[in-house]
Amino acid sequence: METFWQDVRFAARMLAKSPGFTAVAVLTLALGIGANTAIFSVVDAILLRRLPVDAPEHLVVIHNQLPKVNLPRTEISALQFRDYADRTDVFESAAAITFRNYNLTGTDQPQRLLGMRVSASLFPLLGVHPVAGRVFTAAEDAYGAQHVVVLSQNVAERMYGSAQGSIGKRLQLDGESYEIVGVLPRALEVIYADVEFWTPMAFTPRELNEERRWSLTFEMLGRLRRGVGLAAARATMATMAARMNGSMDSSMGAFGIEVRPFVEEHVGDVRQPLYILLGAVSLVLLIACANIANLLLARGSARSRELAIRGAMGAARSRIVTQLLTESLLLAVLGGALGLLIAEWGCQLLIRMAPANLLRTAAIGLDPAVLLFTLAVSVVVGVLFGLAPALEAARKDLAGALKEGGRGTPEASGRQGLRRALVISEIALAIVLLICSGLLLRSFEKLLEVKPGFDPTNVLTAQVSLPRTKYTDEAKIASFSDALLARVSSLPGVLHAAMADQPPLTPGTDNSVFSIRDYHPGPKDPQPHADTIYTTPDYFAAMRIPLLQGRTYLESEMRPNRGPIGEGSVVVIDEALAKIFWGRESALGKQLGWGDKGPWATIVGVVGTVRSDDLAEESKGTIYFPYHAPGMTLVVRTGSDPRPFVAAIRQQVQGVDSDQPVYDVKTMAERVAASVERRRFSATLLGLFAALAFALALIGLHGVISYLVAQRTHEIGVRMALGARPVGVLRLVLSQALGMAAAGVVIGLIAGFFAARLLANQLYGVQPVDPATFLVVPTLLTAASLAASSIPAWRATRVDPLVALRYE
Amino acid sequence: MTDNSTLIKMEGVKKVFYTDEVETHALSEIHLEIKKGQYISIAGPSGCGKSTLLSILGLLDSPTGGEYTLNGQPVANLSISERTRIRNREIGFIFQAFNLIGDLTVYENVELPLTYRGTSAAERKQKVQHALERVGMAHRLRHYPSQLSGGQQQRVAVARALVGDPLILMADEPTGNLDSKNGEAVMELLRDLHRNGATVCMVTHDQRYANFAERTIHLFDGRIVEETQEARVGA
Repeated sequence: METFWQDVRFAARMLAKSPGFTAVAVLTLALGIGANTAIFSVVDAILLRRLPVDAPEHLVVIHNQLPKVNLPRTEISALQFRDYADRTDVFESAAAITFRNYNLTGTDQPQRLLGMRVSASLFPLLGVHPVAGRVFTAAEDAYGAQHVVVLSQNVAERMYGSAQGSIGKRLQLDGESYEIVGVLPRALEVIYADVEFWTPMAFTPRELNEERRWSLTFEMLGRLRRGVGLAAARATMATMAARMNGSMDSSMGAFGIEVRPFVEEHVGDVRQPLYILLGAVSLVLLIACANIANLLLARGSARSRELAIRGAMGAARSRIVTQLLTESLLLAVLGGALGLLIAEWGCQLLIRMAPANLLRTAAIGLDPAVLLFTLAVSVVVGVLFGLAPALEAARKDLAGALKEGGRGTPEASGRQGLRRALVISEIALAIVLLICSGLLLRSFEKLLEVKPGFDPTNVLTAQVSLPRTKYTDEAKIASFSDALLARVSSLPGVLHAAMADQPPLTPGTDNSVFSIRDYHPGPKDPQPHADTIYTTPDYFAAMRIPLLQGRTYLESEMRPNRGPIGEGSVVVIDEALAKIFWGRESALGKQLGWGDKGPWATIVGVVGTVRSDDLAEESKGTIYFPYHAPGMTLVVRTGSDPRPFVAAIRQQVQGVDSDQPVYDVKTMAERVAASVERRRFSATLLGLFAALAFALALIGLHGVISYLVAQRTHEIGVRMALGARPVGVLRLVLSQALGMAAAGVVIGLIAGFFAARLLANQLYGVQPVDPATFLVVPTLLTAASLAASSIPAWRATRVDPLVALRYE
Repeated sequence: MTDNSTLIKMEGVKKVFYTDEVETHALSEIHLEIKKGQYISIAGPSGCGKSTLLSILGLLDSPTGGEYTLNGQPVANLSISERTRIRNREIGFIFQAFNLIGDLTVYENVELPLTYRGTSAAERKQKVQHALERVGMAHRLRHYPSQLSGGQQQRVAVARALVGDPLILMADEPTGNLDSKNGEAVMELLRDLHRNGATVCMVTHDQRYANFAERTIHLFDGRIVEETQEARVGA
């Protein structure tokens, strides 16, 4: 122990003696360790931390799969939930859930709250216990008895000051009175981030009607029975799906039931991008380590006499290695400590940059697990960059090192080889990162170039969801909509105003199966299917969706109280759907309906194709209906920046119905930006790490070339004394640098080729082996390597032969 | 001072350096015996192999061939770690360039061999103090080498060589970096140590200092060409 402290004291003294070296090394390490810690804290918060439920490994989510009608993973219906839960023996318990918004009234301002209808079995199934009151009883999970509500802790505290204080109070939700019976713990927000309250599922008779068997609106959670594994559950559900395939309409295509682990459901989509980021940031740290190892090798050469003296005094090699490793570890720990500060700042930055739909961002931060990670990384890193130089230094020939003389013998070729190998690896790793980030950036650029099919500038969108308890029929909905549109359209500066239930890039999709009159799909052909959107006539003008054929619908063709399709009804379709079913033939005048026997709606117009769900996803066909839905989005095109119109639009909504809240108010440009947030997040971070890797690799190359020039000063002096010209010396040094850069580039390109394949499913519009990226990156790095080496090379040409030879 | 028992015995020792395709015979057929308590100097012109011989004697290097026995133990073919252990316990070094570690204080420099030996802190303190007193440097404990004159640095190096009570002191041109006054002082110090029983083996090319030894071995082209005995030793 005494020896350890002695080594620590000496190490501290050595580092303090070389503040320049120490500062560069600590800062380099801090950047590497800090970036790793920050990304690890995200991975820890999102992927590694256990979900706050009992035995999450036994929880599964059940999805229907209808890939042939563009529903590879979708919800289930109420009747299917009952079948899956009751007619199989794999679940210990099961619960159905669905999101539902409610208007909260009876407060100062009407508010829109995000709620969830859930089976009474959900909370026992999850193992979640209320912090106040109770959860639902089975009796309350019945139609007509469901007027009880459980609040989130945040909402209870915000509205009533405390969880306990809310129990027994009543809330007016969609005009109906609900009693608050319980408050759920804050931990549940990790799973259901924005949910503010829960009501009992209490399936309605309509939902349980056989006609609604394929109305897929519920998510099913199940806890597997003890002894039933995932494979057994999947086999059971596959058998059930096969039985259903036999009884269902074959035009829907092969039907499947997916049993997906609960954890996968919550974090599956972000796992790969996050692990890619963690991999990238680890490469940055490796490059930083290689840089420090090179600095230590140079320092080891400078300290060879000191180490030889220690050897002569009886220090065993292991003792010298231990001492040098103590220095590396001290550097790493200092780097780790500064890295924590950088990580703290980095975490704040990551939280700000994180896409809004990334769950559990609130949990990102420096907690004991992250601190332990940083400590472990610091120790591993300290050993990693310190071991090779320490072993090299301890291998030094004692007698030679102790001899008097200024220049000493030239450095052993083995050590020079190690030094070169480190720089070549740095360049190779930097190439890999630059290729990956280049691909993601190119991909992102391609995405931004995508024409969404509408003009998002100067468009404001705001959701208005009319409660069915108040707006009991479509005529009332239409009357609200007409009144609101009339008021908003008359606002100065408003060019067009419309309503639509599902404008592009708003949450949710509505994919429906339909029939085309006189079109009979073959036995293997899927039933026609498309996205369906209910809009008012001015929607196409408000969104600037171009009309390609025919006309859009008229105000007089809106169909309150008559359903979207009926006698004399019309629809507009998009170009994608027209091409799928009619090709070069005109779709105008063709008819479509929900079933084979009609009623039919006539296609009166064909508009441009819009990317509705994701800019990266092409439309598979859309049908526009002149129809009002209770949950609508107000779409307003203005002549200038639409944001100043928000207050006026809220006022108009209140003017029509003072109890009606407006929520999710965003410009369309904001929705477009939000839809690419996740890709922007990955591309920005990877770009940042690649830039850091690039800079570190160049610093490493510069350092090594400078060192080699210093080592060869005598040789250069002799060459110049014998008549070498500066340009020859320049060529000599630069060829050495280019040799290393070329080796690194070749290795990096090979590694990059394989790394790019891992990224394939993250790319859009760019192939993993993108010629531009694979050409630009090596060219850039080679040019930068030349630039980084030119300073020491120039310095070499300034060597004075007289001074250099005095070393003799 | 000599007790007639043999401390060092070399028979047919040779050292060949191989570089690329060139063989350099640094030492050939060295036969040498040093008794305990002797003061021996190795003299010869530059490049004759003096320092190579001292390196082998001090176990800093190993011979290419021949026998080398130190205090009755064959040491020619020991492993690196065994050589290190013996060097630490049995041999004290004094170098021409002092070879003090600039980042350690006088005290820490002298303490170094004892640290590597695993001596307790209390014993180290006592021994370091004693060694520094012997060379008259006890008042400079907390100084760094750069704060000392050349003569003072070499005295500290002598204290470091003495501190572990080695069997033999190996001095490689100990006055080479000193002016004549300081050189004389260091030589007097070595002579005092010898008078008190130390065995000293010194390399020098300066005849004046070679005469301080009781035996002088002359090397030329890696071979012992002459040996002289000095009558004045111990006078």
